[in-house]
Amino acid sequence: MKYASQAVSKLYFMAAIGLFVGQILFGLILGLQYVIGDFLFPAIPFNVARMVHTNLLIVWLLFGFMGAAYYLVPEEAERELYSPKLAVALFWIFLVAGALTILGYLLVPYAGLAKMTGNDLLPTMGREFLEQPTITKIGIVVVALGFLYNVGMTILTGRKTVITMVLLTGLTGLAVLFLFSFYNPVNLVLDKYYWWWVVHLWVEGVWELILGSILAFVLIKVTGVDREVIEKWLYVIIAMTLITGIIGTGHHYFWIGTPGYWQWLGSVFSALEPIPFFMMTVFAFNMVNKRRLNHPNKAAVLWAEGTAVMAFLGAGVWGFMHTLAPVNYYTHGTQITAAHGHMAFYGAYVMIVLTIISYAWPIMRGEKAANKRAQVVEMWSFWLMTVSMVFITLFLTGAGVLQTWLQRYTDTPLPFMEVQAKIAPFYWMREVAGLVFMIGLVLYVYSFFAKGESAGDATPV
Amino acid sequence: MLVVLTFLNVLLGTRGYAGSWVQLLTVLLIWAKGSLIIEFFMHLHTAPAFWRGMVHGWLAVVCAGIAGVAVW
Amino acid sequence: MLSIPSRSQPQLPGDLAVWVLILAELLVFGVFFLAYVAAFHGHVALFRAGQATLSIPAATFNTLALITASALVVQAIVALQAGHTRKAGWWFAGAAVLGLLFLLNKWLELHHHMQAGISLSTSLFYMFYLGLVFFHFMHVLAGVLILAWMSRRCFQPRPPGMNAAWSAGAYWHMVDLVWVVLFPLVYLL
Repeated sequence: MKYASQAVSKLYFMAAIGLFVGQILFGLILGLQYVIGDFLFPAIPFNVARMVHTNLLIVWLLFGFMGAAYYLVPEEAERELYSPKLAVALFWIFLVAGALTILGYLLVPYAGLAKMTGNDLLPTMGREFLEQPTITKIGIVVVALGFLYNVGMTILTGRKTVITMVLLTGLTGLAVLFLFSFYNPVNLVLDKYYWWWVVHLWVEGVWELILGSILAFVLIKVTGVDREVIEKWLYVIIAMTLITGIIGTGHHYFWIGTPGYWQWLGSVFSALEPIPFFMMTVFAFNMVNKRRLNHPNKAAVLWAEGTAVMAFLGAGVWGFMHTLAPVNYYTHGTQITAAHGHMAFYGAYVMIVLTIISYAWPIMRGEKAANKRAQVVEMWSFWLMTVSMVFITLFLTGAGVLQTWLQRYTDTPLPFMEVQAKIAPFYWMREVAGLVFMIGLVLYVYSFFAKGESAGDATPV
Repeated sequence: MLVVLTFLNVLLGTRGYAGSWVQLLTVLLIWAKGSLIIEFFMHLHTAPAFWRGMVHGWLAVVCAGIAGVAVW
Repeated sequence: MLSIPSRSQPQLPGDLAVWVLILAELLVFGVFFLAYVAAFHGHVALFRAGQATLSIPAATFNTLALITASALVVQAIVALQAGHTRKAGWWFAGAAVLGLLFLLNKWLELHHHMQAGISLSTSLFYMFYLGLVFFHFMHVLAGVLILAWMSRRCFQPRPPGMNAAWSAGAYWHMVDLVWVVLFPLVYLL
């Protein structure tokens, strides 16, 4: 570790992993509720479990991004963090606010939570992924602003690199676009229209910038390839992301009351959204092939390559499957969306956070890389989680195709619940794959404590 | 050369000639101009075959698409 | 070392990453063009009526501006290769000015349509026309900025390398190439 203040990211990474475990637990509960509808009812109804599963994902990824930023920004800017104290304070504020919100979801009926937190004053609740009480949303904004200030001051008063500038752009975009979660027009079409400015422009816009810059940082470190080469790739990937992703928002504007031209614009531009992900795959493998040194942290290299591949498959290929308007006409909101959502979030964002943790954690403990045995365990967890996520995706895709077939693409459509009963075998298999994922995650956590022979130092190729 | 071809393009387009052969000729002009740009402006005639092929391939596919509709 | 790059060996003019970007951009435009063609086929009368409202002289002028700018960029690269950096700077500047003329002209054209109350929702034709033209417009804008930047660097003590010049040129030619297809397709066919 080059700068002492980088250590604040330890807190963030720990919280991220902790919440990740919670998310998967609720994922398992939720998966079971698909086939045993009253499982844990009335203590944890389906809608609450779903809310907790998705909200925990977002929160822990945010913790991960912030941790990544606190780790890589000082090193890139070549100075200590502007204010480590602020970083620690914001961590606790965010953690407590997040925990209270989740407890609120679990302990109080949602309508009661809305009343308790004064949703009447500024109604923002009740929308998918943005279920947080208004007061929590305000908290998120405060934390985001403080975080941006801290990171921004560090970057702007230190060495500016392409990586930090892209990261800062992504983080600023993240904060600014979140403000649209406060805009809650009565008109449902307008509501959805701007809701996507948060949801889509996050995950298919600014988050990709964050992903790109973290990946580029790790690749520079583990391959020793010239910064100029990596920065050039980062530039073109980012350009392509924004060119396709911004207008690609249109693929959410099919038949929801928005103008018809979105069917064309959304289809054309979002059909090309896989390109930047494909470039990222070419980029990652190219850089590893051209490496100048053999970094002892093999696990981090594996995560980095895995991120590029799985992001392309999950976000790129599975997104493309249902992005064209004529296809989406039938598949909209089926399990195909769930399949895409699972693999895209895992491949792009979960894996990039695990990549930076894998790279940074040993260094923060004073080693170049985790010991050999720990790395073996970690790589096992990589394969268990990744392969089981592939299976989750395949099963959900099977469920989605069948669902589309029986319920939509037919002259004699069956009712929703009847179709759900028919696709139950897929849900069961998904649940089993989910259990394997959980085992992988437990192994991952264990890898931090595994002891073994030192992995040694970097060697030139 | 490109300038001359452009004027030919415009002439064909504005004279109101009907029929698919005019459209085909227009497509041919697009292809000719595009090829000139690729070869001489982009300087791909000294580039590896892959890149030259990709850009020429793009032009060919687009032209074929336009021509296909013109004939159809 | 076995392979020393020589003039006789095929070499990509410019940076690999930029060429990857160019291919990706061409793909975007290509898909857009083919979608246009498909829509045209379905609504011939509507598209013909729409095309009749476009100004061919303005677009012809624009084509000439872009082509000439491309030629100037080639001159700039030749000059830079010969070591005449200031001369190259002027060529780049000239190309950028022509690009600006394109933008100005196009802006007037778009403004004219806006004044007539035409928007993306007016018809399928205008959706494509405005969509394609605006998307290309943004690319010309980016190209002009790149050319202007190259020109500026030519006048500075440390002139740009050939790699940067080739890359900037290739991007500009791509913008040109796209317009050479776009113009006949949307205005003339």
